[in-house]
Amino acid sequence: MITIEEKIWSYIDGTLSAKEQIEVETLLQTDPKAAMLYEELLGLNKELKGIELEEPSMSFLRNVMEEVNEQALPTPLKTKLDIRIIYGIAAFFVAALSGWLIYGVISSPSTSESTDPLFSINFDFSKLNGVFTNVVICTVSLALAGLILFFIDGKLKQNMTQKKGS
Amino acid sequence: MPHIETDLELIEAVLGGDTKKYAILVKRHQKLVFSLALRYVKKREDAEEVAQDCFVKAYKALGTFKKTAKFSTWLYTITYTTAMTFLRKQRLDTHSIDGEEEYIQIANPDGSFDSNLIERKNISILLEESIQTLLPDDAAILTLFYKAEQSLEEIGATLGMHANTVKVKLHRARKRLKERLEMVLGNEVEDLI
Repeated sequence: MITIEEKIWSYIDGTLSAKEQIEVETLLQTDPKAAMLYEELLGLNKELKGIELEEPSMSFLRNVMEEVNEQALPTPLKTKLDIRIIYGIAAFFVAALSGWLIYGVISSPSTSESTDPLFSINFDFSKLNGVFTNVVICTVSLALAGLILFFIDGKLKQNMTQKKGS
Repeated sequence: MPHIETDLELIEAVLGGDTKKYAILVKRHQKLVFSLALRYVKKREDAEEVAQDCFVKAYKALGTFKKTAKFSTWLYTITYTTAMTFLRKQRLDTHSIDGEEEYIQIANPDGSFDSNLIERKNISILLEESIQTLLPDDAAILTLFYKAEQSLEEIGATLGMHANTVKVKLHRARKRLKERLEMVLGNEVEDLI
């Protein structure tokens, strides 16, 4: 059962419904004891609001920052996920496609008559000149080299940021 | 007029590599974190250790902070869990119930006030000492409600309780506080309050 004191505290806190609020206001106007209690609680409430917070020692902030500076720079969770998932998937597909393409180019028959059951697509390079083959190999190699450089660049940037942070 | 950076702006800056901004966040919240820690661990040096540990933990986990929540609520939750871990560790270290004995001693109505307290009539000191005699959770709720200006729901989230439980505990804490003041000051409590 809710006591009058509890009701008055809720009234002071402003957590009562409009109906309950009117009820308490009526009680405070009609019951002198309740009105006295209200004044008392209101005073205590004011004192509680005015309590001073404890202050840590002067060296507290310095100690915290010294310890913080020894830690690695915090990174947002989204960034962590994006790098691992997206780069991982991209690397897998590029490596798989490149491997498949290189293997296909190397093991493809020199004539259109012979077929390799490994590949559903038959590379008929006999109709194309040797320059085309060279271009494909060069493009794939450059793409792989670019990807590797991109990874190294990313890693170096990350290390630099961490060093700067610490 | 200089622009006062919000907690979120400071967090963004720290995550962007400006770690010095974290000092502003620490300075802004250190008193409340320390006071909250003091509600549980009682000794100032222990509370300082808890508060320091809390800020380091918060820094490490800053990347996981959801920007839709209030930083202070998140920080107080870390403070609470850090204080609990500290107390558990302390109990394991001592292999005794010293902590509980200490609490019982604090809660003893005759032992926690000094003899010339009534003469001093300093309501702030008296209130603070009275709060120290409450259960740690009740004292923490009072601090969060009055000094951190947190709602019952936010306090519930911090301490892992339902808002209604917080409301009951808050009422209980204030009731005990009033009784305690009446017991110490007698009729003078009405004059003081």
